[in-house]
Amino acid sequence: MVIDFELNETQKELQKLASDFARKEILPQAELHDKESKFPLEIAQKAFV
Amino acid sequence: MNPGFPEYVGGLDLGILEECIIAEELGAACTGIATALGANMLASAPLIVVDNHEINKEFLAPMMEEVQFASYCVTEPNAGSDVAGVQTTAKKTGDEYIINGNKQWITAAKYAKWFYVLAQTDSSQGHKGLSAFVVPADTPGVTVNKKEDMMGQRASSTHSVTFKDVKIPAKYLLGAEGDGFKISMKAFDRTRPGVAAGAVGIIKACRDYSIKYSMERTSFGVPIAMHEAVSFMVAEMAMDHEAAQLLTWKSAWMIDKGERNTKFASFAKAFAADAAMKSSTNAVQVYGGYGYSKEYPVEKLMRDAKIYQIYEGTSQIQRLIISKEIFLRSS
Repeated sequence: MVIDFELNETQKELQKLASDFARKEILPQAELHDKESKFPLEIAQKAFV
Repeated sequence: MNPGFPEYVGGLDLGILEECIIAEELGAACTGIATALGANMLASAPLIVVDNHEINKEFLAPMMEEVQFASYCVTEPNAGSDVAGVQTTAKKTGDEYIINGNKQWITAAKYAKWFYVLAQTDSSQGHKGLSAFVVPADTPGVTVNKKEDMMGQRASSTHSVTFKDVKIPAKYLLGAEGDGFKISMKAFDRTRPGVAAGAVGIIKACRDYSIKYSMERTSFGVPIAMHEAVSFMVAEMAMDHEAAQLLTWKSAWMIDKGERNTKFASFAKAFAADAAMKSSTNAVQVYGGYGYSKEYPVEKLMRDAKIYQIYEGTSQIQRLIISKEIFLRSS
């Protein structure tokens, strides 16, 4: 059996999707949620669709 | 959210490896928010392990229709690493169980629709007397106490939860009486890779911030990245990121293939947690005085990293599990 360390195409797409979401929706909010100890309900709503 | 839920409740049935890929990317942006979004993964893991379709359709299916949260309630004020020391009790009377006890450090508790609760049904049996239950949060007698003021991962909303004469239908018992410890341990095999992946995300963030800053900031007439004292710290972050990610992915790949991954999940969790702590301490070092300031992002990484050495089994408990796997299971 061959060892393969490459993610498949679906996994790469998923990685990009998660990375884009993190950069766009999470990173800009991180400081506020940390400072105010604020639960990310709005972000969860966006992550849900 | 909920990428690993089975198809019969409307889920995508993605693997643990896929969960890890998502958890690392979200974690690189903010592990506090990522932990909140991943709370369901922890709470639902025991339900997915037991695979009782009736229970899963009742509790997991609605979570695929709207945003809902659930919490994993195992830890108590006097029982963390020592799971067998759980003092919450569940007494059977007729076709109900009555639950009494306190649970501590419960992520997302205030927003949870239901709780996964580990309780003693026979305290004379130690960990073999533990049983696992699903408790709807709106059951009378369930109280979610005030939010704890935590050092890091402050977005995840941590509370203690009190159960006082909480009556639930007997059908909300997962598996059989006495199965609770086994179910919780099997759930850890599924959840530890995802938790490790969050720590891998922290290492990635440390690496990327440190690369950027060390190329911009100058000292002694050159970017500080030109000083080996700095570049070696960055090199170590890159090395740790790769190693932690590979261990994490391997432990996920094993469980996705149906193999027992207990030792490897502990390798991944302990290594990634310790490497995240080291990387974040060094990221603050690379930034110098600015790293210690809340105006810059790396002090938060250091606060957030610390919890990975504590929750979901401390770094010491992971080494205990690894030792037992080596010496008692000769695996």
